[in-house]
Amino acid sequence: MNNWPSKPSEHLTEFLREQGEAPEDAQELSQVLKALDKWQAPIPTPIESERLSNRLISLIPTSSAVRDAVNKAHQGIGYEFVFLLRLVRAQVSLLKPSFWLTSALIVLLGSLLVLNEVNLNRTLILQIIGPLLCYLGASSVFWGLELNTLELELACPPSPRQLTIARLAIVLGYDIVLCLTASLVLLSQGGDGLVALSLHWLAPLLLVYGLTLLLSIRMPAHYAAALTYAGWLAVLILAMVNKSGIRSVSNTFSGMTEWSFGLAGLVLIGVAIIFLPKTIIGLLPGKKSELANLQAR
Amino acid sequence: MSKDNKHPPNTQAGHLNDEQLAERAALGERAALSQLVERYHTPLLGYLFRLVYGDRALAEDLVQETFVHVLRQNSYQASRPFKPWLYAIATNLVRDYFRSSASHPTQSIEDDPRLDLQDTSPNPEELAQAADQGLEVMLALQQLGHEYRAVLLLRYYQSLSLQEIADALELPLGTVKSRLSVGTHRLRDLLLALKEEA
Repeated sequence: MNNWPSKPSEHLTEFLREQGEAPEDAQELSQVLKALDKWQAPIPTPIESERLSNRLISLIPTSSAVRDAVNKAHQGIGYEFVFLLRLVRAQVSLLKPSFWLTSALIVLLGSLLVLNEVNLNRTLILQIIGPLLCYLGASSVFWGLELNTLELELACPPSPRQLTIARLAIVLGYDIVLCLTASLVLLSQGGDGLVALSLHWLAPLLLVYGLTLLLSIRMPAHYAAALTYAGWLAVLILAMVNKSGIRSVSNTFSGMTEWSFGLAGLVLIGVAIIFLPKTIIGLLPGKKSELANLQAR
Repeated sequence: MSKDNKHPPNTQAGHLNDEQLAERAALGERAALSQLVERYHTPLLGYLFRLVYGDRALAEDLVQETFVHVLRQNSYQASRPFKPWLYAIATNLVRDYFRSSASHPTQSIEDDPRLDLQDTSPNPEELAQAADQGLEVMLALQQLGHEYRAVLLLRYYQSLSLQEIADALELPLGTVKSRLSVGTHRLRDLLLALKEEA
């Protein structure tokens, strides 16, 4: 099979015909191809083959009834989704009660400010409070680096990407539920519709989440969250200055701009989910010093 | 429980096709693995030996690495033809090997004393002897691009069908045909040039 025992000319002609050679060329080319036969490859002896088999046998996976059962369960339809749900449930324990309470209090406070019609632009209040939830959420759930447990997390069966998605699902999901609930309450006051009202919270929330996750590729999550939130506040201040002050009744950003913020946030979150797990290993303490040494060189 | 109980030998492994053997080997059946090695050690060594310019030690390492990759692919499914998949793994390993700067093929060629023929203007006797030993063919194949060499080796040494080559190299069928055609013509020209030198 290997060393190509000389093929009859008609076989070569057939091969050449299959590859689209003209019949007049086939004769000449088949002589060329016959020359290939001169370069013989070594043939392993049966002992060498057996030796190779023995080396490989040590690598083949061992099977057991338990392993087979686990594999079968893992191949079931929707297993990945169930796995993610279980992972989400497990990650909930990472969050301290203060996260849940503080987030809810912030939304409650914001809603009260809007309902009592304090002398501020109500959109502005929502735009300040929405991203504040992101600051809380990101710094509460992505804290493996600060706790020096990142290496441990990377050694666990769930991949860094699965962990990121699960944790994001918890904090972002909770924030969205809070915002939507508050929006429903505020809706009773009239003014903007539910979509527009929710957008005031959610668009900056998503944008700041996206930027925070992206920055956390390079720095601890709570720094990234603080930096992004500070940046967002600066943008708000600049926008308000241009719109004649914080008491202006007009919205800080147009609806189109808010939609753009929201979509940009979703894109950034997607990008971060792709790249964060790949680069997270560079944040390990040992790796950081290795990287620093490399950069110093 | 004895080791044999963990990996029950299958006395009928010889009657199974490649795909069934690969699936069983991935599940830990020793007899299936041995049978696969028996079937493919020689052809794979021949393919890799020629693809790495006649370096037997390197070819042996790559054969082992190819089988290791086969065993680690837990997701292998019997519906997928085994032979093109095996050659795809082998070809990719060679490509990866040559990509690493330390083992660039041009360096290894230059360093290979067997290839001094090119640089030292051998006399006709030496070239005639080289031709007898197949070195002329080796030199000609080396001077072909990797893309042509791989299709020619798979077709004319390993006897893979056009479709199998297309699957192994992840190329459209038309590209396989055109590379075979161009490669064959170039090979003819290279062999003629080497003969004229002799």
